[in-house]
Amino acid sequence: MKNFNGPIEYARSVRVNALNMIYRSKASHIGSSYSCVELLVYLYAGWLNISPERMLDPNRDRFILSKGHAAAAYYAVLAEFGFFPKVWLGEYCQINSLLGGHVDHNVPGVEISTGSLGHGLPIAVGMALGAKRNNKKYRVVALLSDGEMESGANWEAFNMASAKNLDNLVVIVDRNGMQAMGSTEDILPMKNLDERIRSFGCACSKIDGHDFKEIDSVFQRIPFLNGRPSVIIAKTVKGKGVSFMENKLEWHYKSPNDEQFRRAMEELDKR
Amino acid sequence: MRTAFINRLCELAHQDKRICLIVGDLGFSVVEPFIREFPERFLNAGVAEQSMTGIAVGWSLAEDKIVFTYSLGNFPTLRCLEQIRNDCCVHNANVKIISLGSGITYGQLGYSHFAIEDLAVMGAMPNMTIFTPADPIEAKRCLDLSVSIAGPAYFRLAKNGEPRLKEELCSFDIGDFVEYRTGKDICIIGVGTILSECLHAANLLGNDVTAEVIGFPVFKPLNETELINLLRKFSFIATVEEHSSYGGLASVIGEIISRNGLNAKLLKFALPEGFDKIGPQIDLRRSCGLTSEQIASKIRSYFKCGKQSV
Repeated sequence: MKNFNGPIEYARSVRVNALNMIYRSKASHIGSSYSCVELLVYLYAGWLNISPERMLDPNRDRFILSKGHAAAAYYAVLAEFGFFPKVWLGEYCQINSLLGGHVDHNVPGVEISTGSLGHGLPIAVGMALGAKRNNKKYRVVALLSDGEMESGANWEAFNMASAKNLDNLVVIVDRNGMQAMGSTEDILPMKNLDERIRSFGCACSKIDGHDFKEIDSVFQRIPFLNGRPSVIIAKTVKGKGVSFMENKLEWHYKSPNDEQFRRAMEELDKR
Repeated sequence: MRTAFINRLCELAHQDKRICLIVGDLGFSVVEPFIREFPERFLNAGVAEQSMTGIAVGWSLAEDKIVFTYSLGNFPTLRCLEQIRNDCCVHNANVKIISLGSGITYGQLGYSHFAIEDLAVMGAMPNMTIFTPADPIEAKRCLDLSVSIAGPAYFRLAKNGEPRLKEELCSFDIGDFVEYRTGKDICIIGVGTILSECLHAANLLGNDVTAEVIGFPVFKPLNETELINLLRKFSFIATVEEHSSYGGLASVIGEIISRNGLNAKLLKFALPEGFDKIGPQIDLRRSCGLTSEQIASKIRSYFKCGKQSV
């Protein structure tokens, strides 16, 4: 069995940095950021064929964070892996900072600006199609939120990805079960999300999105089926890592006060 | 215009391997030559303009392609406007949007197929170059210009059978206006295929009111310096467009007049907001006072009545 102590420590450090960023700037979306920390860390700790030295390499893997509101986690990950200096994180959401509340392609390491949901997957499909048409070997990964799956553009894109046999495309759905106004199951139920995705001609696997062992084993099997896009539904917890933020809708919006910041930091230190 | 355009696109695609074409399930009996010659650079995205636009951006950015998207009316623009704004324009992606059926070209198909707010909307998109050719030769020139610049562009094309407006070769560049006819009493400015009505109107006016006629095959950006030098000579300027009276040519020219302190009265010929009648294009133009006879008569009566009220 592989040792995941390294990624676990990266994930802890990313949560601490994201907490600092959101606390200082009084910004939002810490819950959405925390649900995808392990997924982001896993990708950047080695699975993606990209590095700060090869940011413009035409053969690099492409990653798109379609749920652009998880910028705090993503920027903390990019800084963790050397795409830009960690001191930049201190300026998150401040005037003249490159780092804002939604992902921006002017930030080193970021391919695509996002923020409006339902945009990332069609772009990823275009990249994967371009790679196939030019006989390139790189892979394209898009990380989406589950609420985002309500957007029709994603299903247009699944249709095309499947029709064009894009097995160089990987889609991760951060299935934290919550969206801006409540539980995804209360708003527009998607219990059978995996069946829906398979019915569009994609291969689909479900994992625990906080367990590096499970994440690793599913990514080692990509592509799940030759000629099929691989979709991973990662069961996650919104606000994961800080007990009083977990599965609480308000942490889609709130930033911690002094007391909450202290308690959250304490919990993260113990991990 | 569309045949000339696609033929030129095929010629360019032979020289430039970056050129790709995505259609939104439209272009029957138009785009087949491209499909035949460049199957690996063609995609039918289906009736799915949001994903069509996103795919165009991804393809273009990842593989350094110039991706044309092709559809009708508002489908490649309004239907996927946020993809154009957030994905094409913000990344300055090399995506060129082609829309057939400018204005009320498809008059019999009704309001869903009228592209009459597009100049206002696309004009507001950052980094967007807007091409509004008036005839097939201008359309080809616009196409050549579009591939020479990086970044998004929008083509407002009509359909087929538009008359040639000018005998000389097209040599305009981005920012230039084109002068079709010289005159000294009034400057008529047209955009797109309605320039043929403008020219005919100028002929009808004859020597009573001598009309200058100019047009903008490139609607945005405009090089204002030369335009202002020309407009400064006129006390009367008419704008003619197959576009809503809000946010199109008249708005742009009105702002230029006002911002530069030009001493000219603006006569506006445009479609009323929300124009939704049905009929052949020429009859619809007539119902809105946009035929050459109506334009000429209105200008003439304006000059006769002591230029009081229009």
